[in-house]
Amino acid sequence: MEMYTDSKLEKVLKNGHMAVSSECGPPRSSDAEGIIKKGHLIKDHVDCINITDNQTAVTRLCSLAACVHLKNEGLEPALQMVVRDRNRIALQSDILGAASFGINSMLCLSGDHQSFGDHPSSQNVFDLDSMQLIQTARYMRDEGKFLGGEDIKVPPRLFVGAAANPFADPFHIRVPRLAKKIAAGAEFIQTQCVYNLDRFEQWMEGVVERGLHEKVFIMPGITPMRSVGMAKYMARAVPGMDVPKELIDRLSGVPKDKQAEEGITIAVESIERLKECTGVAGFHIMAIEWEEKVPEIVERSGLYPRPKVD
Amino acid sequence: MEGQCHFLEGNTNAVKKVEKLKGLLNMVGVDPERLDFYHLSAAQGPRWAEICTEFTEKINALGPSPIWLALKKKKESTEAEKQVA
Amino acid sequence: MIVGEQKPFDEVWEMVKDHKQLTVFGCNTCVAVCHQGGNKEAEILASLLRMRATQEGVDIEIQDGGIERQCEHPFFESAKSMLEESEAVLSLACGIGVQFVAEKYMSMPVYPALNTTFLGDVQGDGSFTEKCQACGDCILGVTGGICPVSRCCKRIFNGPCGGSSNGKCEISKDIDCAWQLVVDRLEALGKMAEYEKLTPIKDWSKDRAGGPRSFKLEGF
Repeated sequence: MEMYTDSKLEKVLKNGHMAVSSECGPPRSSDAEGIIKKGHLIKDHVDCINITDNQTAVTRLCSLAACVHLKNEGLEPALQMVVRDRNRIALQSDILGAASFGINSMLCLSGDHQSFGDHPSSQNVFDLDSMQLIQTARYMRDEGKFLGGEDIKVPPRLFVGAAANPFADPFHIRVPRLAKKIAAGAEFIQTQCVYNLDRFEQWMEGVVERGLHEKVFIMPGITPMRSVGMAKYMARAVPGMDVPKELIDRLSGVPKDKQAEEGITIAVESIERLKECTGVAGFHIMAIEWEEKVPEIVERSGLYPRPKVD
Repeated sequence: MEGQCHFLEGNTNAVKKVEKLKGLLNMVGVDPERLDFYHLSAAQGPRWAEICTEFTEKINALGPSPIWLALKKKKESTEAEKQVA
Repeated sequence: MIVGEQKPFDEVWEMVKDHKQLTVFGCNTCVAVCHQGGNKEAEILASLLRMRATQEGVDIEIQDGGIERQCEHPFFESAKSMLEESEAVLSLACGIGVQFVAEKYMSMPVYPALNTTFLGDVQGDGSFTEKCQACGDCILGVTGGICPVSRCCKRIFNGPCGGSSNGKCEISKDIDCAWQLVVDRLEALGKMAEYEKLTPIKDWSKDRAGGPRSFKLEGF
């Protein structure tokens, strides 16, 4: 397959390996030490590390700067970009900036609404939507032009990804919506946390039926539950999250001090089952503030060692 | 009575308006108890008299309204000024 | 129509309390429909302000009045002398009317009694909802007659986002997911094939982003 960028994720996927990505949230501080540490914890077990962009609309050290810190450490970061806070001028400018530091992958997102964050009285931008950001990044790379039509002397070469939530409503447009993201230019997809495996597989059937899995690399999101409390919270309070009752029951069935371990086991079992699902190209492991568990999950799921690619 | 208005919904609308008005009075520091609303027909003279008596007693018990007191205070001070002049 | 909501009474009071004379001035069109800024509401507000002034021992002569529309010159004729003799005006119009008064009477203070909240419809008695943001480039033709600019919290043109749940928006269970409505409409119209067409990147220069907008009718 033709390679368009120097992205390690692209190389792993296009060489036919199951890819593994993970993500880290930057600190609420001007000290980058925390994110560098997190990066080193997982670097040998993943192909790239997404850096979140002011997730849940809480102000943090910027994604681009955090990516640069990881890059300087020899790691492979992926820049997450939300369209909530920047207009097309700033987004394109940051894409150029990222490429100038050798950041090779990006993920286009709309971003959580600011009402969930620490500045609910802020204005939001939404000049572009996430699909249009995908289009923009691809246009800059493939046509070598800015949205305004001017040429870019040295175009940014980024492997462009998008998110998908197979569990949001209305369910029947979830496959068409993926098709739309592919039409916009998404090359890889990292999904919302998958807990309801049946429903995910049902979504994948629709994806495969339309041959979409041949046009994009789909990486289901895996987030281990740390406790039954977390599972209940996610089921109740996180919109677009599907946490089946059986999973909550299973966690409730083990003593409190064993629930975290059980959560890891569930994550590993999920990966093992989904590996067999046609169209699954890898996994995006989001261990929220629990990065040290990523290596264990990767190893126990048989995804270690990571393939070497150049 | 309630709902049996010559103007169809007239008295049910009036109830809502009186509620709103009670809120506005409260906002400017006037006890909303000073306003009330009763459903009566034209044939209920005795009941009307009763209500009037009861309401007058209630207002007497509440004493002068803050508006009345403020107006009285103002009047007194202007009279005092006049005397000084 | 334009929907407005009366400001908190204390805020209004703080704005006007230092004047000796005040005209509380209603606008009897849009903001009268939502029972916030009509001539009747002006009368009530004037009354409340008088009660407040009396209790605070403040001397303000407060009169009330109003016209059909505070956004057009001819309507002001009937209130000409009233306004010219006023020291200050508390306008119950939307932001447009307040500015219109300010422009007409250069040396007279004018205060807004309302917060202009949105362009909306009357869903039912006493219930108003936002439906338009006057973005200057209407796309209702391709979204099944549902506006994502005003009704989607992220004004997403290719929605819904991942936060759509049971037809509601992630930010509040009281807000319909605009894209659920778009999809429902496209289905009812038998136009689901249209859903997969990408809505192009928007030209926001026709929105307020492009500066204050105006247009002139030719031949007038």
